[in-house]
Amino acid sequence: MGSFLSGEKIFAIVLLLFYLFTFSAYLIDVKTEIPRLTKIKRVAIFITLLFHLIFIFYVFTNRNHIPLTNKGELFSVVAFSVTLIYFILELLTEIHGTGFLILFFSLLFQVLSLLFLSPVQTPPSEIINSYIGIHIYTAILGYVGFAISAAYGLMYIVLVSKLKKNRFDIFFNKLPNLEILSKLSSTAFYTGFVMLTTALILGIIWLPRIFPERGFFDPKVIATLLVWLVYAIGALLNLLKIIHGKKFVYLSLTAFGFLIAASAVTTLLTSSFHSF
Amino acid sequence: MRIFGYSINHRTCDIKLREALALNDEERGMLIERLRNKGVKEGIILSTCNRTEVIAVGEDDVPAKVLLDETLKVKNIIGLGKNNFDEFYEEEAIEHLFAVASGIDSLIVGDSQILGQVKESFLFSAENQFTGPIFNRLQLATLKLGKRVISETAIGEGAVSVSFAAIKLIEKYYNTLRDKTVLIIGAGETAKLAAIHIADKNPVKIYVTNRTPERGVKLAEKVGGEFVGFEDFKSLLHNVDVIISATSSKDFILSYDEVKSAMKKRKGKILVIMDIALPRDVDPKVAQLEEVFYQDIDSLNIIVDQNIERRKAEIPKVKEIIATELRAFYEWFNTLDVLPTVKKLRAFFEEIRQDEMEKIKYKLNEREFEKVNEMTRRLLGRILHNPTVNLKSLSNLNEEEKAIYCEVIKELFNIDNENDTENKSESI
Repeated sequence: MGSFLSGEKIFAIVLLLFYLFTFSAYLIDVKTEIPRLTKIKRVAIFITLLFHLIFIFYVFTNRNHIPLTNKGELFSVVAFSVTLIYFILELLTEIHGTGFLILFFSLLFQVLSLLFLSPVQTPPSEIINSYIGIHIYTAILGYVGFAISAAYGLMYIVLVSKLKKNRFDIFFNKLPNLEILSKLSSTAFYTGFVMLTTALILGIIWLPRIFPERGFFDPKVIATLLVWLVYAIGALLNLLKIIHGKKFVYLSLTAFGFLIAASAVTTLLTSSFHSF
Repeated sequence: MRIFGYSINHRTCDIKLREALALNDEERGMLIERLRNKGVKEGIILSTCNRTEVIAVGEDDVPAKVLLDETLKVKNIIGLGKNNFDEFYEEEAIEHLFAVASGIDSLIVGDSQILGQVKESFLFSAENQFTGPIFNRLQLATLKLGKRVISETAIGEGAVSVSFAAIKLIEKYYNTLRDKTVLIIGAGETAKLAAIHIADKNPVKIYVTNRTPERGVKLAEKVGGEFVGFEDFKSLLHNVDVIISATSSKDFILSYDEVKSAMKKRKGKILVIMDIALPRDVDPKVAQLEEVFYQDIDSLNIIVDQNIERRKAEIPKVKEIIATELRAFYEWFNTLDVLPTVKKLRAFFEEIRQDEMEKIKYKLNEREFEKVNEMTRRLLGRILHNPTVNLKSLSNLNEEEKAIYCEVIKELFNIDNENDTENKSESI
């Protein structure tokens, strides 16, 4: 068992190095104008994703359950999802200049995954239930959507600032236009919202069946419902055309800030049947 | 045989003199005739708003100054200061032509039009039978160089005029202009250029307004837009997504309050204002409005300057390409001295072969004759392959050494000693 554990750790460390290399390539590409780097970083992200997929499969076969049962596994799946969604967006839009910011999240989650990667243990039988797997994964995709929306929102704010202050540097040149950034941010916002809504519905349906003794007043459930409510209000205001453009971007950033704060408070200050 | 040329350009002359020396098609035709009569065999005449120049090939005894002298005669201009033109000889002349075609010699580095103008000058010469093997080859080399420069460097990238920079900057706000409405204020040269650039982006609507309706209507027609009277255009402000203003007005045409009032009706949609007038047309205070993005000529000049610097940084890369193509051209050009000998040598052997084939013509049937004919042709090809290649490789030697080698070959095979130089062009 010990050798398996160290094998996972080594695997995770190598994967982290892949993420570090890919992130560095994207970061350097923003600051310089080396044509070859565009190809290198695309190959790097593809290899990283491939390696990560192998890592997830390895963990799955090693632990004999879907890797969504503890923080270490979850953070790794989040890192993978963020990178995959960004890679698809890059292929579809041919926008290369935004990767470093998105991949920063991937790198961060992979670091967290390594820190929280716990030894092999048999997860509670309820969590092995595949429906719960869907609940967890849709929740992850929801948060990933919100994170990406915030990242593009941040780029929007940076670009607005550069345009207002006439700072036409290399980073300015690499950023896509305001309209695209706004669109990417709102698409990710709505994707995240739909995913989190699905996760919540599945959670509400399955909570009484799996944990009959637990109520809906669990701190994590309340925090998630509050987060959902903030995003729902934002979506409604946007659909009613009350807020849009720059204000909608600010809303996405504020909502994401609230999400982080709510997650931090419930994780650090309260106890919950949700282990993450 | 040598290549030479002169150039009158933005570095050597002011615009007045450049204008005086510019040649139209009729004058270029006259100049070709005059040069031909003076023993110049091939050449090109490039005449644009920034340069007049001739690069040509002639016999060694044709004085280089004939090119400039004949140009001045065509233009009825007597004398030109020594500092008003550059002269080039041999490799320098080709290197200069390559530099011009690549855009690094232009007033605006990386000028995208110059390659087309160089190409046109080659075509003009060809139409006037003023090109031959050397300039045909030079044309191919120049066009190849031009394509390489475009694809391998960023010398032509980035806007280098204020009006184009304005359009490029608008693309930093909007993904497409196909669903946007644009208002052009003014109908002068700058406004016209900006309107033409923006019309290329196919906005859903272009409004043009101008104090003088005639000019405004004309510009609106040119860009497929709609003219709006100068008294009425302010009522449209809330409907437009982009305003480009370039008038000569001394006062603000659009005030802060007018833009603020329009923004209230736009319900949070952004408005991009490109104020490319000097003095400015729009109160710069409008930049304080949250959804208004205002850029004046100073901010656009920052982009233009950055792009020019970026283009200049590409010059070393372009020079490397020029050096490569120059070397390739001269490798070919230097073989011209030995080509007549190569041709004569091959003709000599071919004559022997055909003579021998003639002798056996009636001793073989048609099929056998064809086989032997083919076999002897291949045999000759193989025998002459190495001498041909080696003779061409003599191109790196100096004229005297090449002449000695050619003389030995001629003596050895008793090939007639006609003047090779005269036949050079025919032999290629």
